Amino acid sequence: MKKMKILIVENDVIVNRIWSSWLSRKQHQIRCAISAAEAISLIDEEMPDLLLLDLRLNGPSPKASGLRVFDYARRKNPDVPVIFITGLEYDVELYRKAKGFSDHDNSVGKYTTMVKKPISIDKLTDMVQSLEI
Amino acid sequence: MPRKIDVLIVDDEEQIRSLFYTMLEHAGVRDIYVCESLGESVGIVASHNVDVVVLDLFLGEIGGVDTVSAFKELFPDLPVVVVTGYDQDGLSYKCFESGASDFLIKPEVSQMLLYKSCVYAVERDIIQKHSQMESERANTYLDIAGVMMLVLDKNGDIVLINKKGCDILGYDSADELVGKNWFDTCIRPEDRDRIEQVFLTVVGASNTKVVQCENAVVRKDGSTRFVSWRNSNTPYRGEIVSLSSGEDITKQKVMMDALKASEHRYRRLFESAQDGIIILDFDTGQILDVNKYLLDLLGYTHKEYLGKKVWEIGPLSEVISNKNVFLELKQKGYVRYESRVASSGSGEPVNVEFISNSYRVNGQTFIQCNIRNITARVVLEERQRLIIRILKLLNAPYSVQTTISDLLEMIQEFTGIEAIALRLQEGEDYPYFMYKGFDQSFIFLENFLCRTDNQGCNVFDEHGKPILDCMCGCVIRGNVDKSLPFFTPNGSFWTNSTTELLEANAGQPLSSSQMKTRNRCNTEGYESVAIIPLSTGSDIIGSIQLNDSRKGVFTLGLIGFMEELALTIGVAVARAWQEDRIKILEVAKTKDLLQSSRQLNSGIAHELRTPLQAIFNSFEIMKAVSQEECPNQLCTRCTSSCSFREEMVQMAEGGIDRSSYSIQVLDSLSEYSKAASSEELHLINLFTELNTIIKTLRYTDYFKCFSAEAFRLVDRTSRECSIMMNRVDFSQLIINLCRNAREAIDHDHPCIQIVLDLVDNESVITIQDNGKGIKSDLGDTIFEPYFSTKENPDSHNQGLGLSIVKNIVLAYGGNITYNSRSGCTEFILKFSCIQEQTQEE
Repeated sequence: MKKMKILIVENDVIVNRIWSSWLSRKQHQIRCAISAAEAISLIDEEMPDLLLLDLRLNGPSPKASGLRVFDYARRKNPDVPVIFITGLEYDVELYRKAKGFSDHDNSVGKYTTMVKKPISIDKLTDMVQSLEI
Repeated sequence: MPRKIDVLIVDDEEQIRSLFYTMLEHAGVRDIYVCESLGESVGIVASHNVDVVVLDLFLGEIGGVDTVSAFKELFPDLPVVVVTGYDQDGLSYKCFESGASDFLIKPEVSQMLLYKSCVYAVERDIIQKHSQMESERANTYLDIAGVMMLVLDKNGDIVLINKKGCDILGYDSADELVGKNWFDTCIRPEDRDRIEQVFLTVVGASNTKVVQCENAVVRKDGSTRFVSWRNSNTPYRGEIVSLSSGEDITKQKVMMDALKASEHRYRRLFESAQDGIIILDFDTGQILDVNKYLLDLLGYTHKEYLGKKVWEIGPLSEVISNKNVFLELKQKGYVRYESRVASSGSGEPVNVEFISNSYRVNGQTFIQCNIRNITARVVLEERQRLIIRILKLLNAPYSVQTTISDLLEMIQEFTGIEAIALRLQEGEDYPYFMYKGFDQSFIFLENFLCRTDNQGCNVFDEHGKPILDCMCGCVIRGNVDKSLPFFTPNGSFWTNSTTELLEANAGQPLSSSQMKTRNRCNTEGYESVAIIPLSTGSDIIGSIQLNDSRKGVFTLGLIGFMEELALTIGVAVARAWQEDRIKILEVAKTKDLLQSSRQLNSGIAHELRTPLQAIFNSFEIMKAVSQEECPNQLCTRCTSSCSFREEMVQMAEGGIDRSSYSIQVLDSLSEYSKAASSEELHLINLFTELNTIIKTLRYTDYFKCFSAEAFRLVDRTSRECSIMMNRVDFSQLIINLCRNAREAIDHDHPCIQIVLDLVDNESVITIQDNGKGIKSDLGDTIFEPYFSTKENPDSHNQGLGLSIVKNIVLAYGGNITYNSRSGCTEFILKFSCIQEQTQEE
């Protein structure tokens, strides 16, 4: 099992803490951000191996804030894997449309997966593990 | 032997008296009387028979011819022989004029001369009297003959005219006329030449052939009478004269003229009558006469009719089809019925009323047939009937769709028009609301009228109204130039040949620059096209379009009638529309409510997801951690109580289970909300859609146990039926009910049946299951949110299913009921169906 540097971006601190605690237990190196700004500064510090990204972050433009982080990370490293976590499928469709992805394409670009909340902790672990190279 | 005569001698000289006495005595005169004056002679003539008087002209007191006159005055019937001393100054002639029978000069008188003179005077008198009698008798005959007798000499002067003639001419006696010129006196100047010609023929003829003629004669008072003459010639006093007998025919003539005038009048009536009239021979059925109207109505020339049997004439044969009908007509004398015949002009059938009468004239029987063109009346009656049907239809409680569909069918049937369509306002445009007989592609291409720019946006006029294209647009906007022949005063457009219309108007832009015709009607082969505005009286809300590939289908009358209908329809549609709009508003309100509640649900679902995430994962971690071998044996809890660890696992599992359930509730809330994301309506063919849903469901795990027979669609409809609904809503509706049915089944022979039926234009979808049934006391509470019959917490039913179903059904104006008993539960959905024709739209 490879240790990965994972950046969790989730505005709910409890969820954030649960995931980071759990994934830490799985021997991953976890950093947490509860806002887009914080996430961006952490990306600047060091590019993670995986982004666990909530699409709706609190901020001036809640819908787009997750996407802002995504765009920022992808600009720095176009191959960085991203797992989107979202409350509504609606957001995914919105993003797909914005990026011009096909409706039938379940992944949002390269190394990108979309999951809907709530997600089982086991499933989350599996997904993270499946991304390990 | 000479007649014995008695003589009176009147002379004032004694010697002469004696001499004459002696002479006459010797000559053998029977009685001789003598006297010397007229006075004495009176007594003698009165008391004795005197046959002749020998009169001396000079009797002292009077003399000369006056003596004769005086004597003749006294005795007009007594012949007088004048004896005088001398003859001078034409005295003898004067005496004859005054009535003397003879004139003797005294010195020349001998016995024989005197005697003979007396005897001859008597003889002449007798003859004269006889002839006078004869003449008087003849005149009497003439006078009582009753005809006018007229004799003219060769100059045309009247020689003789009888009393009747005088009467006719208004004269008191013939004397007024005799000697006058007939032509100058009794013939009208304008007739003179003609009558003189006849006269000359008569008098110039070598024989006495009778020539007839008639002419007017002028009476004394200037009035005229008509006389019918029989003219001949005859010798009279040595010359040839005309002898004419005339009859006063003024009365007859007047009667004849009156008869002629009346005949003429009746002829004119006959000819100018606005009914077709045929006169038939009663016995043979031959046509004796036909009038002009019939010629115009049925064609054929006058000649072609005459002499033919009535049932031999083409168009009439439809009325009087054979001889038997004619015989019936003869028998009854009066026949009346209505029929249809082909008209000569258009070839179109015309309705006629046939009335036949027989009548006698001068012992001959005729049949008169009147053929009245009642097409106009029949058309009017038919139109009246149509209007009544339409009014009934408009007042019937059908949907606008059904009503208009029936309406278009009625009009189509009535007019025989190939294609008919109705446009109705929808937003800014006026698309076809319904159509019959048009090709689908035509409707597709012509559906919208709003002119659009390159971007597909509507183009507006200066009043801010969207510009409507084509002729339909002009009519709907009222943008018509009523001076043009193809527009009516009520703003309809009509033509009997689009080709000719386009040719005639080629190159010239029609009155309004706003107008742009697409001419598709013409390119599609429609020649007769009419567009009638559908008006509420004040606003135009659409149009009725009539298209036919034949030329000349319309008349101005028909268009006028359609306008009348359009007004009725327009008012009714506007009213029904308003009612429908209220209904739609109500539905929209329900839908809005549904929508907003869905949005709320969606929000709630989202808001709950993150907290649930925390709770769910916490329990998961708790469970996972509790199950782990504690790496750190220092943990007292672990070592002290394994039962507590187990308890922890159970509690965590409980938490996971409850969280999972909450997540499922959220999922159904989300699904519920998702359906609301689209308000678009689809035309759902129930049979196809239900089959698809069943097929899809059978692939899912939950319905895997069903065989094809155990979960199937039963179609009991006689025709395709469709409803308007959002497809997602419909799927959700059916899937929820199927899931509900599935859940109710707790045995190994599951069976779900969806029955599709059509009752009174309502589609009925029944979902039946053989499950455990619903408790009878639940009623409609089963449709309340979060109601569930589930006893099993693992059930897929989160209690929203049926309430979602109910909401969807109500939002679309449908109805849901259920029946249930153990082993059989059915949910019955009812939606009003869309007419088949409109599916093509």
